[in-house]
Amino acid sequence: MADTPDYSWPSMESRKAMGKSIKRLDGPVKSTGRAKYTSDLRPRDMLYAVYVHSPHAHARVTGVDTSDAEKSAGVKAVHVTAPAGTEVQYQGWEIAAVAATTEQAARVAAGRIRVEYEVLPHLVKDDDLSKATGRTKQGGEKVVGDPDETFKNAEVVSEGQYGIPIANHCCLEPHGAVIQWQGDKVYAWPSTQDVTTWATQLSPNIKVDATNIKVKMDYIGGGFGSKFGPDAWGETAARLSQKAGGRPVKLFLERDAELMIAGNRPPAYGKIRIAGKKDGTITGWQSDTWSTGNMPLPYIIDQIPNMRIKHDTVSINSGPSRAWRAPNNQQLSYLTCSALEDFAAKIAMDPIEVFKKAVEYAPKARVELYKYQLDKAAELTDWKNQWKPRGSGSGTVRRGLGLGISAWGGAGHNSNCRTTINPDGSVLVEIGTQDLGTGTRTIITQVAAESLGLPMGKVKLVIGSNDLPPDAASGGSSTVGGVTVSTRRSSVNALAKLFEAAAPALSAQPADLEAVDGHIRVKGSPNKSMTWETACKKIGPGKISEMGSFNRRQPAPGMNDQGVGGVQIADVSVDTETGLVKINHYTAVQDCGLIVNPRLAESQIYGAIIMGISTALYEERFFDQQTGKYLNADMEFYKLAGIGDIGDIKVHLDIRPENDKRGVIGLGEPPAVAICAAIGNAVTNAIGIRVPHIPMTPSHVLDALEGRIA
Amino acid sequence: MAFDFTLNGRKVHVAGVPPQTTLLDFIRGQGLTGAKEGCAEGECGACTVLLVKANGSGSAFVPVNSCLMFLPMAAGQEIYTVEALANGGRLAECQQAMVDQGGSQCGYCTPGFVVSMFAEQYRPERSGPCDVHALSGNLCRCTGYRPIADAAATLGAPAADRFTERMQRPAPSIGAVNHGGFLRPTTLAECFALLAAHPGARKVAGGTDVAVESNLRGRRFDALISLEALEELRVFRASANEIEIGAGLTLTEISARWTAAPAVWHEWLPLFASPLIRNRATLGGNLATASPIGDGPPLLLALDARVRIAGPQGERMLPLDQFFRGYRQTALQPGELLLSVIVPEPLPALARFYKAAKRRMDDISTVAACFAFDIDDRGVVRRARMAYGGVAAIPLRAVEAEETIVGARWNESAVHRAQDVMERTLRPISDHRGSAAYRLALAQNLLEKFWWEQQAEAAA
Ligand SMILES: Cc1cc2nc3c(=O)[nH]c(=O)nc-3n(C[C@H](O)[C@H](O)[C@H](O)COP(=O)(O)OP(=O)(O)OC[C@H]3O[C@@H](n4cnc5c(N)ncnc54)[C@H](O)[C@@H]3O)c2cc1C
Ligand code: FES
Ligand code: FES
Repeated sequence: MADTPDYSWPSMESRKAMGKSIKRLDGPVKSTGRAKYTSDLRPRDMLYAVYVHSPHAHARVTGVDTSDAEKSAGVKAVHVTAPAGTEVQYQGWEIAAVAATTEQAARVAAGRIRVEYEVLPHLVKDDDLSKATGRTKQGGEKVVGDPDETFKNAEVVSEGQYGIPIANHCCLEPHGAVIQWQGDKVYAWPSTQDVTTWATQLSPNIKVDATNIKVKMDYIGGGFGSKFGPDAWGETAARLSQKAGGRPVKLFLERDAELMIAGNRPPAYGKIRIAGKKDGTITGWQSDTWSTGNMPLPYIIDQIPNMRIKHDTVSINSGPSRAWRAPNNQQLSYLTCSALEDFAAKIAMDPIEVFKKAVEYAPKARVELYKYQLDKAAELTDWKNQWKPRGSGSGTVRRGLGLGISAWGGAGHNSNCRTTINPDGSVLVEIGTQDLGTGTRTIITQVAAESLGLPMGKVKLVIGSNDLPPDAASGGSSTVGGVTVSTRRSSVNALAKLFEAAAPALSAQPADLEAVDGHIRVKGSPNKSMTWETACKKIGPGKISEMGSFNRRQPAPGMNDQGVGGVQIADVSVDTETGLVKINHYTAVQDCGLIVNPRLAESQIYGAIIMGISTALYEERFFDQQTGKYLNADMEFYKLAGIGDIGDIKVHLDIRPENDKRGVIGLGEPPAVAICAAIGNAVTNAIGIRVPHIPMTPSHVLDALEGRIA
Repeated sequence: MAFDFTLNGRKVHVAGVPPQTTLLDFIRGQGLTGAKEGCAEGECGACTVLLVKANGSGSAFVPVNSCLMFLPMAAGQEIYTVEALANGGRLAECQQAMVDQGGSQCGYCTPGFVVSMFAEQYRPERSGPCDVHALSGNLCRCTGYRPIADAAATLGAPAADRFTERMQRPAPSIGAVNHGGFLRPTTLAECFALLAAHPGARKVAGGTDVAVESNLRGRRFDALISLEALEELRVFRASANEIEIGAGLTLTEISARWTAAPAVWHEWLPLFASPLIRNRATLGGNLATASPIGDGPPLLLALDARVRIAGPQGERMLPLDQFFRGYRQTALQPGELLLSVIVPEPLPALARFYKAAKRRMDDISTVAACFAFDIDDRGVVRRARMAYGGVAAIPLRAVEAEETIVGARWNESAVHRAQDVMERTLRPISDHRGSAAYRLALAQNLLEKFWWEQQAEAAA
């Protein structure tokens, strides 16, 4: 064969499958209830496992007595994960687990495990640094330019206190797995965002070679960044299975444990001061913040000439942090955009103008983009007429508009794909990825069909196991950029082989052929053509099976890219008698690359926004400071947004040739970033004062209005 | 000790299953895993299934949370799960609409939404497009509500099919059950005998409170006595001077029967939980559970309701404001039950219900208030009821505040007088749903809101 085939995407106008709003392929199995999630599986002889969790936020285990549990009816295995001596760091810490023939039997037995604790002092309050003595780690101070002089001589200094609490992922399908450990082989059906490397993470913990751990997952009920590795429960289920003589064991967290230990998005709190001029120019930034993790401020506008940035981390007795849809960006966007809005109010300027000046401090390549997006968002919301200066509304229900901005990467991850063309014309595409509900199945199939000139229905796709060509974790919005390129390459490679087989019969050179509408034909002479099936018969007794891959270290310019920005505007009404915030309209202007499927892309953006609305208005954890207990680890009081809470959402997806030519960029996370910022600013704009802490619940709003905030 | 029910058209025989097993766990154990467990407390709707219930001489498909039904509650019932909706390879219209509009992301919530949407499409009284509020008992964590709402909006009246045909025929009637401590008597006399024989038994009606206790707090009951098959609790009688509402009617059933219900009822009903819960929750259960933040008490206190109580010794009647005795305590003696609630006519001329909660729909209140006034032509208040939930350990009327305005003109200064009295007399508690100060502020502000809304209406 000649030189490397041309993998570049077909032109926008010529695309037949890509760029089309094809319906999600797994729609029918999902809507009929036939899709089997890990938590639906029940392999023969399966045992049900139940955990015993620590009721204390901080304690030392002094004894675990499992003797009664082992004698309990139906029990096949008991495994202690936190033996005497273990220092438990949060409520919900896994102490022991029981596997039994029924869930009920496992529950009864778990209740018979006696655990003794020495209770230790705890810290569960993360929003008050003064209460965290001994628990903080100074992150040092970063100074740029001359902040002291800048603030001293500033025309205006604005200042504010802002906070965004821990949020729980609360996947509708909790974390867990079904695992069978038989001899030297482990069969695992986890609920995971990372089918390919899940086994390699479990392997060292149970000392079984990763190649002997078979991982399979068809459907996952939500992850949002919280379901990568096997976690403690992966190992626990494996050990229970081994102890139970190799029977499969199902271990899923209950909803309360799911909220306690399986997903904490880190909080961020602090004080921010901005120095600037009355014309809206920012000259200095000073932030003093803390979180359980790192929070590099300021967000996006990090080229401000004079800055003093201080950040502490605080360790609290609360379940471990996990990545959340665009990790840390929501928090950073909230803090930064709130401070910007407060600065704008202080100088009585339209925040759109202030943001436009502020984004001059964004990385060079994005400055114009943000300005364009700010104008676009203003235009879509009729900002000029709808926006009113802060607090100028009257009456009991007041309306406000607010802004938020975002940035994200979205580069593709490493991915390998195999395309097989059989002599009977059938096509198989295999890739060790997973579809979190983002539409990965549909998109891979679109790319393969496009590349092979076939209708979607001709392509059979297999994903979801580590027997397949390796892919990587679906995190960082990296899946679409990775799988589209690997699929494109394997399919183009396979097609090249098919051209070789078919060329003689068409009396042409392989390089002169093209695959269009289920035919292989000679470029430029469409009547020299044969059907796909006829061409495939020429393959001979074997089959064509070609690999294609994408490796992050070898960029694929034009095929995929990274780096997107976005601007969002919330339009809210606030009832000043009850504090209730209602979303009237929500507008998102989203930068993007090549869009493989507009409908799926929009669905990601809608979903991201509504999830953001949920965190901005409802989601919060409550702790009993005395006992350290999580009081609302359930879905009754850890409230999620419902179908009636979403308002009218408008998405402007920036599909243009100049964006298309960048190639594919992930889109699951970027639109989830700016919502708390936009809603917080809109509420402040409506009622005239800053409600410092997300979520903007009736009680936070009314407390602010009635001056009950310290 | 065993019983039967019909599942997706097939008879299922149940024996040897512990009585507090949920219907959800049971059907999933049968391999019907379309219904999922998201929360086990009626919040997420991932477990939604259909019950066939009487509707006139025919039937209707009523969506309910299967996680909140103890399996023996299914005895004698006809139940459909999501798996039954498609006809071979042909999807039901609502399933196809979900596919066409892209209503699934991870899809874990999809079967629940589909079942709620199906029930809404086939709801007998429905006209026009499907009401998205019918889906407010279903949560989606991928938050794909937009396309789901779009899917619902495409659905018109159902075409004639085996389901519309099924609706022509009567629903099964449910009979007695005795299954491992789950007892369902069919007459009051039997019920009293059972209550006497099992003094530790817990009564259960719709189970939307009791099943949560079982699922989340692990409560095991010595015995459960179901009131669901007692016709005596299912009366609905409207006469010139009162309306009697059976304690065993679900909120949905009451709504269907109370054709002349006042506007305040229609304000109150959609704010109560979700349609799925309202299809099981009874009014009797709501009063007997005596939650300080329940929605029934403020409404009924403001309407001067009385309760009819029956026991082995006979019946007695009690004004509702004497029914709540302490935190989650009522005047019911062991062995007694609530028969019905009586609302006197004429109803107050002016009545409004307010519920302050974090979310507008499907959320328990922080403070709920019902104001019911009669005002004469000169603008003087003749009767004033200000009933609250969430301002004390029990639901109550702010009697002192009421007294300050009766006999006076209803104006802004009356509002402020009443608010001042509340400041002195109401002693709300602080908890994670709201501080005492916030609750007091709400109680006062809601009265003000009531006043302003009246002014706005009068002006319009
Ligand atoms: C998700 C969810 C949302 C909810 N939202 C709301 C809401 O918005 N507002 C609200 O007020 N409530 C709400 N509830 C609570 C509950 O639904 C109501 O209290 C409901 O009315 C209870 O009725 P039930 O028939 O289900 O009661 P059950 O659970 O069957 O019984 C409740 C209690 O009452 C007793 N009881 C029942 N019937 C009688 C009788 N006739 N005589 C004597 N005792 C009796 C039982 O012994 C039990 O102690 C919600 C519950 C859930 C799960
Ligand atoms: S499982 Fe969530 S409502 Fe039943
Ligand atoms: S699609 Fe994931 S929970 Fe709804």
